[in-house]
Amino acid sequence: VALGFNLFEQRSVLMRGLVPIVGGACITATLSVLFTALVAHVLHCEPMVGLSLVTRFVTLPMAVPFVDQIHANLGLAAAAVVIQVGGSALACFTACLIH
Amino acid sequence: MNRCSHGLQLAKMEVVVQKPQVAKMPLVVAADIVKPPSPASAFVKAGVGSLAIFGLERALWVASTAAHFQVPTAMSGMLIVWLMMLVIDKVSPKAALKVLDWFNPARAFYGKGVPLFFSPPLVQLPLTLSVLPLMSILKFFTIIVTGVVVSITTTGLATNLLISKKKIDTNVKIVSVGGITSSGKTDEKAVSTTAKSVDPWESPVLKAAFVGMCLFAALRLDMLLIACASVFSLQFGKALPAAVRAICPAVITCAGLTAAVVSGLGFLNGVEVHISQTDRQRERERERERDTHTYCKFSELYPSVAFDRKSQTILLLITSGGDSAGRTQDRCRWHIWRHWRRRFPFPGCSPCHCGFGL
Repeated sequence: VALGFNLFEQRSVLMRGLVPIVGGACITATLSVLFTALVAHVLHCEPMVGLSLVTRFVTLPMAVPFVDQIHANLGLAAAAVVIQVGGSALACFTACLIH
Repeated sequence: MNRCSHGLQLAKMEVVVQKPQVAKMPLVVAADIVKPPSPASAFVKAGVGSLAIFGLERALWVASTAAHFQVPTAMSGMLIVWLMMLVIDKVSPKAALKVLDWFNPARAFYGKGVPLFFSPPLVQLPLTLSVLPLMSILKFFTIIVTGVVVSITTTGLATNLLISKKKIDTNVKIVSVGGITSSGKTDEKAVSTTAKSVDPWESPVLKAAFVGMCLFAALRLDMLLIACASVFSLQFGKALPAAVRAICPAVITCAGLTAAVVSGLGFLNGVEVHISQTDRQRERERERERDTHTYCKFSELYPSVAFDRKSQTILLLITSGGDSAGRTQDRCRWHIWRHWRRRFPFPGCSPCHCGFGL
């Protein structure tokens, strides 16, 4: 909820880049969720694993209500989020070293 | 450059595009307008503001439950706050800045404490992974890795496509409140007026959490011990060198150390980590719930329980070992625990709640 204030602070940037930000987020979210579902289906993942991975694109406080609704596993969903965050941090660190 | 992945190349391209924009931006710092609050005022604002934000989230949750229409309260609350701020800004921009400034301590509190909300589900993770076959775990990681690559590539391509269609106005006005500019960069000048930088190892929160851990361990108040251990783990994770944090972020350190404390307490209490998949095991769990309700209480005082209803299930999944094979181990642990209890009597636990069937 507190992120609403941050969102307000960024309003000028948001308004000026509304199309790339909203459009990019919509396209990425849709494709990523579809990709996750598709790969989970192709790899014959257990439903609990596949559903838990669907919410990996959002922060955990936002993912929790969705996880609750789709009856996924919160531990796996949290792990997916954290692994992504950790992976991104590691990628940035490696990129900085290479650069 | 050739060694970078496609996603990293796109990320670099975006940075190159953004650099001239930042250089051209006229900087308007509002820190001069908004005076930094005194420590007492900041403390009150942090408390009241945090409660107000939490109250809004809970009110939305109650409303959505009453209406039998479940909406993600965090997201809807965020949008409501954003819209309210936009309306206030339309009516009076100065009032909007004042509201923003008033909520700054509460925002800082939530910002610093966010990783703490990740730890309850991560403490639960080892229990979850223990019932998954190895192949499922491998598939889990495969999906994450391929998903990240696809996400980065898709984001880069989609954004590039949309940016090329719409030229962004580079003359962005930056407004800074509480040291954070509207471009998302921290304004060092403003920060220096609002907050003092504290050495992470000298942090009063770290010291208080450590003292709390020692105190509650001595008093056998396990729930409060876990709460303090969570805060201590988070602060400890934040105090580690940047190179270590790049590989092992504070949230993982926090979850790992908290899980270790929970496991340690479970061991001393003679609790078997056990998760059920079959109906029979679930039935056994329900039967054992009476014996394990002491441990369930851990989650009631867990720091993020108010934000995460699921965390209440963390220790519901931990059940006492009641089979004959586990008896010997239980008795060994019981001797350790009894020795410990003799020295420091445990006020809130009668023997029948310890899961040993005594």
